[in-house]
Amino acid sequence: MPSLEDKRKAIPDDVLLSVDNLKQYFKIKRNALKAVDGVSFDVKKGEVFGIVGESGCGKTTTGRSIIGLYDITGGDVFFEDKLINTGLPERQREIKEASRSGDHKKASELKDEYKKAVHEVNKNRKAIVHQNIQMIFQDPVSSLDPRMTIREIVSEGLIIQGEKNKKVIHDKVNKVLNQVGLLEEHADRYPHEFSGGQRQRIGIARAIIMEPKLIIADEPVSALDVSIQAQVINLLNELRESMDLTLIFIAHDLSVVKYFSDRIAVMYYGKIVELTTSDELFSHPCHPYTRALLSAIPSPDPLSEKTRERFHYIPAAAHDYSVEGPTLREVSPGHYVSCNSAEEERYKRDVFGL
Amino acid sequence: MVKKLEVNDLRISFRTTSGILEAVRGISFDLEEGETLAIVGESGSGKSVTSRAIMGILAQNAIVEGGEIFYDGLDLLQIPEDVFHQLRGNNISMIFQDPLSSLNPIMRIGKQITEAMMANNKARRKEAKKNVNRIQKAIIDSCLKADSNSKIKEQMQTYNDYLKVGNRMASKYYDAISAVETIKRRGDDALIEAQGTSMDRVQEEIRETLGDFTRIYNPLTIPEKDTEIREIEEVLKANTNEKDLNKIKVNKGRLVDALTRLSARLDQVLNQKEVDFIAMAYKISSSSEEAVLQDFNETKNQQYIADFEAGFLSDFKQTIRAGVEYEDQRARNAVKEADKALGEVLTVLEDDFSIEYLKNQVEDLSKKIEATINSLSLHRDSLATTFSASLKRQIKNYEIESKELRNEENKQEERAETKGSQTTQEKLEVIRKNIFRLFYRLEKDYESRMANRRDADWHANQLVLYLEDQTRTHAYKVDKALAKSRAIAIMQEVGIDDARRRFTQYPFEFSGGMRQRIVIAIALSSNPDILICDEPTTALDVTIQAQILDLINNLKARRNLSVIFITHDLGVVANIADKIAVMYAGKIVEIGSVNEVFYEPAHPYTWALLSSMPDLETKEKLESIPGVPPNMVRAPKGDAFAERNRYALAIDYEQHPPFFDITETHKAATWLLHPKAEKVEPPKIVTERIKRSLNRGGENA
Repeated sequence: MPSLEDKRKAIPDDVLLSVDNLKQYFKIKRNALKAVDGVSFDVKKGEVFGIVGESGCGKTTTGRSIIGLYDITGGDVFFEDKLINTGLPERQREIKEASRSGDHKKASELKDEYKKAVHEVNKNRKAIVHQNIQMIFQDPVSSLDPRMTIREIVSEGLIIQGEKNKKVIHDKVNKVLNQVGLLEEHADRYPHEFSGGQRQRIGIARAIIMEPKLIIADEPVSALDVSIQAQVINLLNELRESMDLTLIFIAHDLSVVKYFSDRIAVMYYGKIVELTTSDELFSHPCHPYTRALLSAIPSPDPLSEKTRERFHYIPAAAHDYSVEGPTLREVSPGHYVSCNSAEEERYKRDVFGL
Repeated sequence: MVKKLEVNDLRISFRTTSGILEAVRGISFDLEEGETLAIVGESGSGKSVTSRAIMGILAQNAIVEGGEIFYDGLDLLQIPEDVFHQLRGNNISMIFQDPLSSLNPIMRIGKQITEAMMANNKARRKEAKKNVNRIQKAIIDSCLKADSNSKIKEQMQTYNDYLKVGNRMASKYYDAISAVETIKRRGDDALIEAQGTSMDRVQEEIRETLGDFTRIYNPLTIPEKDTEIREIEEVLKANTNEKDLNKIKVNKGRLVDALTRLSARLDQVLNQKEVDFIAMAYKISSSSEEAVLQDFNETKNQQYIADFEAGFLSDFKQTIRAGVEYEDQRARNAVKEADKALGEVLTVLEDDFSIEYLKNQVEDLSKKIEATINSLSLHRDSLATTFSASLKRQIKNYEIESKELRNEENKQEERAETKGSQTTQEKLEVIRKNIFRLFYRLEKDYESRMANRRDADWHANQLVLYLEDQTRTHAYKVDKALAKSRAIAIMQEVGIDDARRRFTQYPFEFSGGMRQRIVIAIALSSNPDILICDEPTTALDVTIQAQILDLINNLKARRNLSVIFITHDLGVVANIADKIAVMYAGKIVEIGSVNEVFYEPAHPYTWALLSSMPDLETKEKLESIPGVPPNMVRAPKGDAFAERNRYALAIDYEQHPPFFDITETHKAATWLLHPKAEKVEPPKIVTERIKRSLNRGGENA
């Protein structure tokens, strides 16, 4: 296993967030539920990275693990080149294994690294994560405190970060409210006075007031009407340009992500099954699960819709992993698919005509 | 097509702290048999309120300002709650948005599905028996009238005997099946224990397994002479009586073998096909019961069904057919006569509207209309029965208002104009229009009925099916075993695998999609005509959404359901709707067939909805609808959408547009369609999408 420093050096310069072999298990009775099981990806500066999958596939957990809402089980998360989250249980397990097998030198090395990692994460949490990463939540109703005015909600982050000058806070709140298309006079109202779309705008205002570099948007539009969805998507697009934001956009609907993302990762049961640019994913979907997802999207076209064939993804029927298990392989430049070598051949032949 | 539901000028408001909120402002639509109507609109457009009004579950602060909802001859807004109680769920069912909150978390799924069947059974049994008797009597009467030598009386008696015998056997059979299920579950538990390393609890488990053993014997499930099962029973019994645990451990191999065989054998029983008990009863009538039940199998079942059809059922249907034809002829004449009478009254009224004349005619008219109601029809006639009652009500209203008018004139006062309300004169005008509308509607109804008659064969078949269904499902006592078997059949119908095991699980053990399937199963358990789906897929993922939509589509075709599908997402309905109504601010702004709304949208709001919808092909930026829907406490003057409408004309702010007909089925309420308005093209994103779809559609065709 490469050491922390090796990993740090391997991160390219244009990468803002690097997730390496992220694992998040939850204990349910005696069993471990592998919500996220070995996910790795890089998010480049200024891009929108989409994560798509059905509910329960671990996309939300990935987002929450990055920002440190969970203590992850294994893997490392780097922001720029600073470690912001690390899987302590797995490190402990490695130390135990090493000392049990009698390799004391390795054990003490691992122990040192463990201490270093803990120290660095604790230091960076406050200094880096809280300043630079913000989150937008799915449900605009339950994510806003009903007893706080909009001004209190939006300015809360600033105050926690130590801003004391009332004038500065006031001006900043007004500025971000304008940015998200609300009026200054809205600031003194309460959340229940707003419609769903406006509430989601408040959620966005709360996120951007910290001037973060990275925003994790967790299904920001799935609770909204279709007509309002377009408003929110367009707003996020504008903000991204004007504020030079990087975004991780989590959704279950590929058609929504499409308008927005540069690269898309498709997740299925805790693993990434396909990762590529947005155009590539729609023109050359490889993995059967991606194709099933694409076929499920409704389209406003009764003629073709009535004859359309839908794919169902049944892992046992779609793959034969009895001989060789799948890994994430690059089937064409920048296009990664989870497959074994037989499947890789097939994808290259069938999808790309190589 | 037969009209199932008719909504006319429905108006609903809510009393709120900030004033009267107008949620639904005069909408009208029809729902035909086997048709899916999609109601599309943003939240707050009144689509859910409409569906709740149809279900009769409006909130306490709702005021029904006016309008009619006709179902099966009843105006759902007028009938008392105890009558509605009979309809709700039984005839009109509803699926709600969130499957988690519509299921009881602390009740097993099976209980929740069978609950309604068991609870309603007692009350419905009486009702069903009465209905069956009424229909049987009507059939006999009309058959005798058609042909006085008809054998109908004897045949009906024989058929009833078959039903009785069949149902008795069915009840026994389901009891045995239910016992088989219990034994199978316990046996499987015992098998797991026996396979394990410690055998401490094996004896206890086996004893439980043996508890119900005698109940599984039935000629149709496991004959008492079945040597294999007897042998297994022996093995199990021997082991329960053994006091020495070590000996059981020695026997482990035999025990595991016996339990495995038991499980396999019972599986075989559970997987056998449905038995047609009435056909079997027919066979029993000519030979002995034992002979029929012996060696019963699937081929014999088919054989019996064929025999029954050839030996009795076809004759029986033939006899009924004569009665139906006679009734039909009579009804047709009556309709013609009533139609003529209506026409006469109308011509007089059109020339000179006189309420006195109308009052004199009411009795005569209602007599004629009553005669048109076919005594053999299973459902009441939707319009005819309520016509005279509605007419009388309108006449009464007219008289009250005329008196008011006279009073005002007598007092010679200036007319006190209360803000916004109509003057008495206007009210009278409205009532007069209503009266005319009643007449026109009934005339149209008659016309369509004459044009869309089904043939007598279909009717005869339907009558026999009705008798069988009623006696099998309602007229006899539903015990737990029967309810369970029916619930499992429904669970399988809605696509739940392994329904027997899942029957005993709790809602939290199901995924979102499965939960929605359960909700659909509950809604279908009483075999409704109309299914209202209120955003059934909004809380679900796209993949699951596609599955649920497919399911609703299949069920609709199989059960000939009429569906009202409510959603905010136009894309969802392309696949399943026949007709689409787009709602905005409590009004329908566009209504038409699915192809018309998607390929020739006419209202700017429909354009906006279409252009804000993401799809896979469009590359350009989505066009969102600016602003938010208006607050309906202070409903805007003129067109409510004008504020957000890029194409709004000056008149939109002044006056609400009426419906302009585009084709016979397609109409939209926008001034853009007025002959004097300038031609406006829909946004580019919409026209291009339509072009692309039509090209592709052409290729497919």
